[in-house]
Amino acid sequence: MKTDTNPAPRARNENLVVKELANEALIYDLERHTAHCLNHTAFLVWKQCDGTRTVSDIAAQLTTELALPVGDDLIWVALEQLSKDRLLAESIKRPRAMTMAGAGVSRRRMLKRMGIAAAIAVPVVTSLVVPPVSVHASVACPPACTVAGGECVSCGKTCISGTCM
Amino acid sequence: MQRRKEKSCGELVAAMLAKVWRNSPPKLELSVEEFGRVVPLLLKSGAGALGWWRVRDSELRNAPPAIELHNAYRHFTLLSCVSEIHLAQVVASFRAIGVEAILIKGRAIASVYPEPGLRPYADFDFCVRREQYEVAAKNLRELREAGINIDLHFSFGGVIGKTLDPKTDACEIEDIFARSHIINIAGSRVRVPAAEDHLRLVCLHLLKHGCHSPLWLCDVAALLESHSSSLNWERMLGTDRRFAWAIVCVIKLAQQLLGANEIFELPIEYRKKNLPRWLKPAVLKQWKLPSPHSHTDPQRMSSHILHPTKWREALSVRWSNPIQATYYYDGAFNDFPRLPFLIGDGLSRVAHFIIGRSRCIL
Repeated sequence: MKTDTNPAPRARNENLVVKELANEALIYDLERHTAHCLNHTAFLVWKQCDGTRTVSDIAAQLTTELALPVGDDLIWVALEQLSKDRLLAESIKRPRAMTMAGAGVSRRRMLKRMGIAAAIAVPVVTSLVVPPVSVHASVACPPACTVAGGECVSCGKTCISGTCM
Repeated sequence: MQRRKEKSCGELVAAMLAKVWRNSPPKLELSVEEFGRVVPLLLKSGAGALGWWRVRDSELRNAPPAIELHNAYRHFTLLSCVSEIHLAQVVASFRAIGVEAILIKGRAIASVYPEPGLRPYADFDFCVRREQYEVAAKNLRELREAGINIDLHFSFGGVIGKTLDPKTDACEIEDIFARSHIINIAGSRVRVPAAEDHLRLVCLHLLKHGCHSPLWLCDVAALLESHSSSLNWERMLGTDRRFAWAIVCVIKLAQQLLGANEIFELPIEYRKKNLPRWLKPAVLKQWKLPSPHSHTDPQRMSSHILHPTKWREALSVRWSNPIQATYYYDGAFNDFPRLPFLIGDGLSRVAHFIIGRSRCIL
């Protein structure tokens, strides 16, 4: 049942381009022009976020899919990252009582609880740094090419009214 | 024990990209040190995604430089998906005004790779008939302002860097249109050239730019292997024997540097002929440059005039590429020394520079 401590998150699907690969998924946000890489676990969580499944439901679903025990903690790790990167329809925050600080639990115990020892990959959402693409585009000329009507001294194209064509 | 001769950076690039356009490229024999040397060159030449494709099933995938290749692969894969949305918009835009356009180079060639994201492109190159160019260009303004890069061509000569007489040029374009066909790219019906026309265009375009891009030679190999059994060589090589041999030279470079398949259908007179001795070293020299546009300096030469200590470096990046010079002056690709072409090219650049500066001053 949906509650404050067990919400039903919904994945954002507007203005996103999603590409699923072998062990990860790539998402491009057309609104913010940012790119993200979700590992397998994070992507599985994201796919389950349909606005009706609660955190516990998602954990149960992943337990079935992965054939390994998956706790709510692991789902929360994924949801926090997805929320931070605006990949959920509404921002979501883990209730304080459920955080490490709130629960007085050490990080090692938290990871153990999440089942890391059972070889489930911690859900990870990475923002991709995009390298420049200009290396394989046409050479860009300085704004004011000076060989009007002739061959540009920089790129070899024809300069027309200060622009190289 | 004989010490293994250290491979040059150009040779390492060739080794990394050998047969990389295939679904399963062969096993890579490079040391971690060599891998570290070649990765920056691959990234700068736009072949990072292909580099990842090569190492993804090898032990080198765990070497630190592989992370950058993997990120390049992710980046270009995603960009390719986004670009497909843009392509659909451009194609719809042409269709709305009744302009028939042919997609060439970049995205059109990406279709023959195992995944389109392996072959990055930053713009769409479209070819239209001359009489439709103005209306097409006007129609694309809005899309260009929205950030979609479109390079519109109406001249075959313009793409290959040659001045053809208008009638010949128009005939070339008309022939390309007549032999073109439609393919499906992510749900968009896009017109592309016939394999022979595309190969001819890509080979000559590569020569126009002095073979500086290893990625473009991969394109030649990929196009060749995807169509080799059905190519009409007479059509592809054309009637001008100098162009024909130049195209064959590019094909032989793809074979000898990147391991593209031997083409037994290639006319025998060309199959038996050897590449000019200077050509392969000239290509490998281009590939080891730190940037694909090292032959152009982002700063104007005029900015270096007052700094004689910078002349040597500025001149060295501007020193003529023998392949580009030979092609530009319609030279034959034979074993004669390239010096006359290099001198001619150098003098031409100096003349352009002086004329340019004079216009500035006046």
